[in-house]
Amino acid sequence: MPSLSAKIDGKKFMWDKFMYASETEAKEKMAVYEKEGFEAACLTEEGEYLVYTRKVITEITLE
Amino acid sequence: MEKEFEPKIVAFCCNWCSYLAADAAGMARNQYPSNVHIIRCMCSGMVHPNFVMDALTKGLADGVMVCGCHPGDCHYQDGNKRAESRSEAIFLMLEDFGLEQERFRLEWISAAEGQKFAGVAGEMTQTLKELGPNLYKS
Amino acid sequence: MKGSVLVVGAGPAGMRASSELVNQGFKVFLVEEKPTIGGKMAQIDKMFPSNECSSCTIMPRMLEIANNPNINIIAFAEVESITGEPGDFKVKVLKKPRYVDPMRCNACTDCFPVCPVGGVPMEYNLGRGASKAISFYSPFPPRKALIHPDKCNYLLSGECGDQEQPPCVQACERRAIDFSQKPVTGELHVGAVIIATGSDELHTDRLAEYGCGKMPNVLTALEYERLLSGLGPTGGVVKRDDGTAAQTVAWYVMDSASPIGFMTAVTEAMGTIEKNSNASVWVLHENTNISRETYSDFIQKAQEANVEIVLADAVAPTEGTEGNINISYQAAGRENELAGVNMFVLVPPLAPSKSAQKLAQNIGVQLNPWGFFDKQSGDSHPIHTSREGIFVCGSALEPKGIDDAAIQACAAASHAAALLSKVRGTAMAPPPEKQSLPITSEDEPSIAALICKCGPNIGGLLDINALAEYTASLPHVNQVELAPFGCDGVKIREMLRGKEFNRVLVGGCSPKTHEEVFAMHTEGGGINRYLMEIVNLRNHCTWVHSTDPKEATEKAKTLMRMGARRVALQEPLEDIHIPVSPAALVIGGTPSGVACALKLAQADLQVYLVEKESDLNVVKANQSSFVSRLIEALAKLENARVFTGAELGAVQGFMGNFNAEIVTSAGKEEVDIGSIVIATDLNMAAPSDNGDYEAQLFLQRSTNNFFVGMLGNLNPLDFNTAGVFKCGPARMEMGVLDAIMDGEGAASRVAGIISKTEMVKSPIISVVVDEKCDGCAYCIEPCPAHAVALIEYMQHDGTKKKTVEVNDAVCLGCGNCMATCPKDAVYIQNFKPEQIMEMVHSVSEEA
Repeated sequence: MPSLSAKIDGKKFMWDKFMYASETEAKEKMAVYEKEGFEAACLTEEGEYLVYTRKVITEITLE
Repeated sequence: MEKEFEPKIVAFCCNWCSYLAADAAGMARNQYPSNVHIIRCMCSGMVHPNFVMDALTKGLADGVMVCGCHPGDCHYQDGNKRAESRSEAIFLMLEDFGLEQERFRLEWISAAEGQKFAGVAGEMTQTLKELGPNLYKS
Repeated sequence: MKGSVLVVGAGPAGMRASSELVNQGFKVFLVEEKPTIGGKMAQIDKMFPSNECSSCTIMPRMLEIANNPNINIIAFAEVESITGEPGDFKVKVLKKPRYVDPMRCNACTDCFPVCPVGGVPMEYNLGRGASKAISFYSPFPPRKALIHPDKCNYLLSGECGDQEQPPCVQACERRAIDFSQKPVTGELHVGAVIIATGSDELHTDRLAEYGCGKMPNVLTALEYERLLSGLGPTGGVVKRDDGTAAQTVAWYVMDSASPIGFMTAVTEAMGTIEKNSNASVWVLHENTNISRETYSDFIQKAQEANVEIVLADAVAPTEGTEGNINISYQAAGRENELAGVNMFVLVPPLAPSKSAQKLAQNIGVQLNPWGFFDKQSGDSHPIHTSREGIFVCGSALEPKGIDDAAIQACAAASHAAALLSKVRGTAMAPPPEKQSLPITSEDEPSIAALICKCGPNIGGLLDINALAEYTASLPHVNQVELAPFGCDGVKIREMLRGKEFNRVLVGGCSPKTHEEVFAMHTEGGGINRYLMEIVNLRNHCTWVHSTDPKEATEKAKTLMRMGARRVALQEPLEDIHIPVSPAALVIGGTPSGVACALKLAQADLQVYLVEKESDLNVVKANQSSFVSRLIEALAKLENARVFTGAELGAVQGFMGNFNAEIVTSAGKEEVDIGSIVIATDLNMAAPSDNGDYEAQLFLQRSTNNFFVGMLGNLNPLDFNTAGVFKCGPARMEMGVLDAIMDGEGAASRVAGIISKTEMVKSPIISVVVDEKCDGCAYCIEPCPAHAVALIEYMQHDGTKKKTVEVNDAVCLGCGNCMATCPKDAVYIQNFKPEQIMEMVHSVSEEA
């Protein structure tokens, strides 16, 4: 089971809960995420491709 | 003859002030009842209200103390102030659970106030002896 | 050249200089004439203007110093001579005999009760309180016994008691008593010297004129501090000569030239009312000029707390009835009297410490006509003495408050560092190599338990065998051993040799004093230091429940049960290593900014100085020959880059890893730095279009616009934001010389960060449980370190989720996040809610 979070370059990224079959597919999804303003990174684990994202939120509203 | 009721008290003491106060009470040999058991935390602001409420509503202790640094002295700026606001919530919850207010105590004790620590420990023990066992004790 | 420094005097200035030096890579020999460290700071109750408990504040610093392998404390010793040159001094140190071997003595106190000579007045308590002829000098480190040669039977007459060996020798299991000790001279080789010998109350005939030593209940300010102090002879109750509590107290400030005496009186008066709200207190003074705002704020607070401050002349005390004192004085041209005051406290002027004159003579350093350390003519730098390479700081220069002494100590450290920059790190002992067993948190816990008898302190009261048997029955405890003194490490290392254990449980004294030492033994046995727990059976049990051994033993069992449950859930942790950008940014080309940049550059560190004006010499505050010389010296150093006509743009990052934009007419330049110093003028421009670094660095200002930072007397240069410092008029109005010392002090604070390639941080910090955190963000605002950030992330199905991220570098591990979390989703390493609740459960169970 892949880790829910990953530290890349000292920053915390979170897994999108999907295991991509190929690097191409993973990179495609990354592009989608990046378009929405997220930082994205791709990691491999046991032949599966995993995509992690993050976006820092500066305006905090408590519910 | 029935054994006298001995309350069990948990005292959360912060690493920078009140834990040292308890140490100082030791150095000065200030005596207090053995009913008080200290759990060290880094800051009085580290004490989740659940720790206090679980301790009391699960009948684990007859009384709980949270001891921190005097206002302005907190090693982490204002952890003790947060402990104070949480204590207000705790007192309200005690009421909801039908527990006496005297079963929880928030105290500011600086590292040199060993005698105060011993005094507070003694007072709390006496108060709880008179109050009787926690109604949630099995 | 030697990469080590001699610090003479272990009061607040000496201790601070020592820790600053060691932090920058210089080994320290800390010589103290008294048998224990701490100076006056450890003797007083509260200090001004912060009104903090003095001994509480200094205690953790003292323990750090006492446990630091690169600070060699030589207590009960004097400097006899210093020969040689800056960079290469040979120092002769005379160690006075304690008649106790400090390497063997472990402070068990077995010798105290058996010594037949009592009633020895305690010098530390100014003659109040009594000890035996063998005693501790004070409650502070080094905690080693010492024998008073003018009171000890054996030393005076060659025999004590009716047996061959004196009772103390018989009682000492460690065979630490050594009557053959003589004064011993040793030699140290160091690169620089810092004098921090402080000041003493000046005792002249004037004191007797005002009744001291003549009338009852008349005493000096320092004596009164011992009465106020919770660690003093009366346990913090202000008692008169007859033992009754004082209700009315008056102070007379005998020296109006310096504000220090006046502030001392006001602090003591306020402390008296804090302990006894019914007390009436007056401070009589002849016209003390208080210009510093933090001091006058404090005075106002005192007056609001009912401290009467009286401008008085012709103060004349006479003996009243029942030990009281009648004090007549003149105020506003009229005769007045305070009749029947319970205690009268005299605040004499402060003079250089009594041994300073001897020291100055011994080491060939000039004193001024008032006996304070002086410098060569033509040199007006306060930190210099008349001998190059020998620096001075604190009250040895002139009376001052502890906050100023701390700043000067930092400045002195930066001078020594500049002198010895080429040999930084060369005299430091490398950290001991750690070889830990590969223990994971999934492994079944296997606890090695050691119960320390601590001499009679624990073993003398508890049923130690019953306790050991009980401990052995606890879950996961696989071996229990007893030891007379566990801290010597012998038993622990024996147990760990077999490599069957992965946890260590110590039933002994306080982790506050002994955590380092037991962590060392644990690591020495191959186990990660965070898998060790000390249960406080002494300070929290035997010492405070001594009238009921049975109850004490039952509680001890409970405490061991709590400790065993806790340590079983402890996880092995590694210290956090964070790389550091080895450069500093100084904002403001004022005298303090220039002085700060110069000291950093002289210490071979990279520094960027940013100034708005077109030229440093044009800056208004720099119009003095002293500052011009500093500017000239700075220009010659390659590792100092001065940006004039420049402003600061965006700043981001955290201690060790900041990134800043410097904006000039030529464009923007980005620099990576480990630390930032604000050395601007008070009337700074508001945030410019280029950026608002004040907001980006979370810097705060007070209502009168000065920058404010960490609370407390010992941190005047620190902002609450780690790695950012303030100096000079940015924080308080001050003259040029003080501004320069401020800047040099800030340089030391900065060097402590950027002289290292990486920072090592305690791993006891916040950890987010990703499975449980839903990004509700309740934990963000309570964090005092601004360490928690909210992040959003994508799920494959297109939904967005949130979680929090903890900045390991700035998290302080206070636990406020843990206490606010409604989801059980964040905890502090080794302070997990489950560990805490296990301990609570343990309290309710029966042994």
